[in-house]
Amino acid sequence: MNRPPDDDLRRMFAEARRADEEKAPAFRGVLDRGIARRSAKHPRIAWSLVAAAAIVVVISIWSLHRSPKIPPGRIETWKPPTEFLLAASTTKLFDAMPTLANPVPDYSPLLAKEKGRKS
Amino acid sequence: MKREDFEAEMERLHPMSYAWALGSCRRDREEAEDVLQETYLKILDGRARFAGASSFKTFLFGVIRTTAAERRRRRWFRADRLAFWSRSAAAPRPTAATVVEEPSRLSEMLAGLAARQREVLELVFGHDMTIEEAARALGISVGSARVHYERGKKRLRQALAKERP
Repeated sequence: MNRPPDDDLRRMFAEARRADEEKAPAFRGVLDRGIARRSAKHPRIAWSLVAAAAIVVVISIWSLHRSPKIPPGRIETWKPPTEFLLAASTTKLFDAMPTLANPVPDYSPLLAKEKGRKS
Repeated sequence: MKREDFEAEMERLHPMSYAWALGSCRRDREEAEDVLQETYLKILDGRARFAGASSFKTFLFGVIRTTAAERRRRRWFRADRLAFWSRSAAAPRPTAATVVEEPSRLSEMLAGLAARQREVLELVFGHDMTIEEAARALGISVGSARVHYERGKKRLRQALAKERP
């Protein structure tokens, strides 16, 4: 009779495996111990996270209500706090229209002289 | 699959899962049980999702192996940091509480093999998986699994031949 190849190895491994399996702790015990261990590790961490999250939410809502609102109708007169930085020595030049001399001098002889030169 | 279905399947496969976990944890019984606890909770919580691409057993063995490796890395890292702060280069040693299984003749011979070779042989011969299933459980290609299988088997046969008169 032809034995499957490596039958001797299979038998050795199967024997070793059966010996290990006999020593296995009960499944339910292993699972329950794992669940109990995890519950013992995590409740404090979970509650502290919940408390921290609640504090963050409360602070966010409170700061939103406190933030200053621009009253209606005042936006046109509002000036930025850094407006002083825009002031320059030449600013006054643009504050008013420049005025001409009164009476206006007669420049026509000068203009005629220019025309004569060109022709 | 529902939670109850997962529990039922895990319970059915529990004895061989324990045997596989023991092999993945250097025969440390306490560590093997911790690995199984973490594995079962990962699956029930949905942190390890069974997509149905393989058999549930292949998937479960893969999660057991990954969990054992993660725990080893965490322990190593903690010991490394402790060694840094305590200025001691001592590697972590098993404490009095650690119960290590008495090595069998087979496990002594397997200890002489590379880790991957040992794992593939255990899955194929010990847990009746095909090489393809073993590759999936170990997260390696089928080609690599075949190479590990052939080389591991050759070395195991050499070790067996040395033992026989």
